[in-house]
Amino acid sequence: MYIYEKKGRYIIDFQDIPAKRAEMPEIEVEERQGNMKEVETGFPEDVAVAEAKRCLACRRCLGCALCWAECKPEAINFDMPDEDFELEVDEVILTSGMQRKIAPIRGNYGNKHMNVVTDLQVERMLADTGPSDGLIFRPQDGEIPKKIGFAQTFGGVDDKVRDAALFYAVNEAIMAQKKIEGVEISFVSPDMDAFKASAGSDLDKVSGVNFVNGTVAEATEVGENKDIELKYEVGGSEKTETFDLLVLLTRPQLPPMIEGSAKKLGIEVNYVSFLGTPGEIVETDKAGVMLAQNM
Amino acid sequence: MAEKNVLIIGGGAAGVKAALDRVNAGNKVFLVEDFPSIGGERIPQDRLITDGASFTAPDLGAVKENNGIQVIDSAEVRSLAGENGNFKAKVHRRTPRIDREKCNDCGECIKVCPIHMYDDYNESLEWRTAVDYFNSGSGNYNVFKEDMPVCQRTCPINLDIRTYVGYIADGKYAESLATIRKKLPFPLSIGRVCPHPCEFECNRGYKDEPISICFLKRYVADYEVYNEVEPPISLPEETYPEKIAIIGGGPSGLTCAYHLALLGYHNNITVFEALPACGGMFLVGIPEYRLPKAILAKDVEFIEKHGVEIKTGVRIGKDISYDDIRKDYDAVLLAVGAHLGMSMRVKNEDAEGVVEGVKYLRDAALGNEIPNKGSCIVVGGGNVAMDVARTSLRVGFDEVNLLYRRTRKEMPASPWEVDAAEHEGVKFHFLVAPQEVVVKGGKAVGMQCLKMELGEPDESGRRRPVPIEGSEFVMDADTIFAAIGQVTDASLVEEKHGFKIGRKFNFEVNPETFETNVEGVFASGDGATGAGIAIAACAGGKTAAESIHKYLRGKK
Ligand SMILES: Cc1cc2nc3c(=O)[nH]c(=O)nc-3n(C[C@H](O)[C@H](O)[C@H](O)COP(=O)(O)OP(=O)(O)OC[C@H]3O[C@@H](n4cnc5c(N)ncnc54)[C@H](O)[C@@H]3O)c2cc1C
Ligand code: SF4
Ligand code: SF4
Ligand code: SF4
Repeated sequence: MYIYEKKGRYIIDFQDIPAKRAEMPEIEVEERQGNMKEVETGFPEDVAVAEAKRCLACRRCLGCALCWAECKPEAINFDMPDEDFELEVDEVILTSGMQRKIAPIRGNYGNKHMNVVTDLQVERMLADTGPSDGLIFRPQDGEIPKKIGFAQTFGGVDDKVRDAALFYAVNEAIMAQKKIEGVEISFVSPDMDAFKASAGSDLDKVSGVNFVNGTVAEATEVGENKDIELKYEVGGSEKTETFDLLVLLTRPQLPPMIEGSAKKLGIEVNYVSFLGTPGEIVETDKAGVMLAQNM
Repeated sequence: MAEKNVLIIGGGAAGVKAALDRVNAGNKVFLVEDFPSIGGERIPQDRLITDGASFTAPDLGAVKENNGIQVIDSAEVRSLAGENGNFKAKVHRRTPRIDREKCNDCGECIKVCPIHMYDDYNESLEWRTAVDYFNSGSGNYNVFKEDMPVCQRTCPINLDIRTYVGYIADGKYAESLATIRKKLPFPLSIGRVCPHPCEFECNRGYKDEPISICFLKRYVADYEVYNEVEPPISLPEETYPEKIAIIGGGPSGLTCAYHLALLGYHNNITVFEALPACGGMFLVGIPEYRLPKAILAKDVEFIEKHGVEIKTGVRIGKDISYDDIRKDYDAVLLAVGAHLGMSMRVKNEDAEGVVEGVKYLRDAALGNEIPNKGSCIVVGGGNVAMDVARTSLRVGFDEVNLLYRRTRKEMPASPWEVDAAEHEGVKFHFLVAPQEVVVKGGKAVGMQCLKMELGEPDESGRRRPVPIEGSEFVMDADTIFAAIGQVTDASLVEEKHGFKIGRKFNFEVNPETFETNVEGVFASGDGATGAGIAIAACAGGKTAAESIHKYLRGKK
């Protein structure tokens, strides 16, 4: 089933179109000594044309109107314009919104390995309306993971933001335990000791999760199943652990629309401003502008 | 209490709850969300759900049923101002292209749509079609048409990559080049040196490897040169009389001049360049082995032929005063780049034999005398450091040692530049921090360094280097190059002119229009944004041209 496949899997292979990108020809190193000769010499014509043919000419809706022809109530209207609203209001309430940043780890630039996901992807997997009806799965083969690693790769953020990220991910680990019987979970964070102090006794109630205060170094793909081998350091010594699925923690931050709105109103907010009593609406320095605290 | 109007920005779980709170208290609510759906952020971030509790479930049903809440999804807040009791907001909503009153949620449209793209709402775990719905059951359908593919969106000047690459596939090289030149007058140069952010986003990369977008641009540009085709020049018939001065003939200033010509100001544009030739860092930064001067000259000539007057060897602030320029021209662009090397902040930095990397490259490019004997040390891990190191190997140094505080992986330089430098014989020393220039007889003879190890990660996941105590050592060198960043020389204007100057001595501008705080004066490129990449400097120049046009036409 395609829901278990990751992006790009649908691209068809054509025999006459190369999979590898063209390599730029260069002059030899010996030829470069004592002169300023141009190193790269440019593609020959056949290479350039073959390379250009690899382009997928990406677009989204291509305007084929198949949907339009199919729609019985004639609801589809390609000419429907954008709308502009001018609102006059007495009060403005800002929320934190949802924007999260991933810090890539070595051996895993930009989330390239199939079985490395982010905590946001796990949130989608856990959602009943999500892509897998609430099941956590390995994107590579759709199998249910038996061993999951959670790794925090960023550091140096405000304590409250760090705790928010960790609460978020530990909650996912708790949910994963409920959904997958006997799942083994390791949780590596350079801030684990500090977080333990913030979470207090509630964290002790989480059994079966191996919480590690360690620094993540590298994630590599191993074996035919493309399991993920995670290297991390604990107390000066290096450890290696292999997981069916590795979840990277993301760093929460304010989306541009929220930041921009605050700026337009002349107030300063950051992510911490939204981390108070859940659901409460609090005042700011500017009368009439409120902040809705995260739930 | 009288009914209030409340604007809530952000339709996550907290926004939904706030909306219900306010509407239940008898108010009217506008809920603005930039996604096509509401109710996200369901996992608690302040407590653990150990007691069998579940995630937060925002009451979307209640929102839907309540007439007092108007949900404005797929929308952004464009302006917002005012005081308690009276705020005014402008909100722009992207069209769903589906009439939600008529749609009966049958889903037939999704079945027939031939486009399969990954679903960013589901974090790419699933595919969607170009027509899709969010929040099942809400009938919230939409047709998603992007203005531009991701490569084009990522390109700072938004080159129409899909089209120019497509033309190459069809063998239509002239059409391809013309497509590029609609926006960029530097295809030969940019096609050689751009770090191509577009390629990192290219969708083909998810399948196998990204398209070689940058070098394909070089291919069509070279094709014209090698086949001795005269580049076509077409200028608009309608012209305007205002005179514009552009200070600085680098990528940003020249791109601005080109677009002003295309807008109808040809023969009224003068570029003042302090150096003997135009090109800016293309000429005196990027070394010849990456971008030959003769090739650069072709791009500059193409721009000049658009009715752009170029005066080289004229430094504003010295040969002509800024005040004179202001008097003689209707609008001014400051595109002066960032040509001053930053300090390493180590002891004895001003000793003889310690040279700023950018000054060294400039002297090498202009054929001035440069140090070239014995061994040298290059301090820095960016592309400028690679250029300094690779140039040093070529001009005669026997040994080139490069020092960087962190590891190879943290280096900001492009990986292919690092590989090339290593391949050519540059010796890399990672996790080494310079401490003090060792001086003998008033001349630098080496650098005292400290070994580092990696500590805790920072926000971006890069691990901070921390010194290892007692690990000092000295590395010998005849010349030491500092290549750790550049700042702007803003001395062409004086304090009395009232420009806002930023942290990198740059001219502060409105990031959307590139206007400075002084009326009629614009600034773009490295001198406005801080040292960056060339295509971004070009993009800034193009936007500045459009702003100058707006400003001059608005005045009439
Ligand atoms: C060594 C080096 C290597 C680089 N490599 C790359 C690369 O590979 N790829 C890439 O994309 N980018 C690269 N860059 C960055 C890129 O070159 C710059 O971002 C780009 O050149 C900035 O363009 P600009 O027009 O803003 O400024 P500049 O190119 O710096 O041009 C400014 C011009 O203004 C002139 N000027 C300054 N003051 C005055 C005055 N008072 N009167 C008259 N004229 C004046 C200067 O002489 C200069 O010619 C590199 C930069 C350096 C330093
Ligand atoms: S779901 Fe699609 S096909 Fe069905 S009514 Fe709505 S727009 Fe038309
Ligand atoms: S079926 Fe509809 S949404 Fe899909 S590509 Fe065709 S016109 Fe666009
Ligand atoms: S395949 Fe790459 S270059 Fe071609 S249109 Fe798609 S993103 Fe752009």
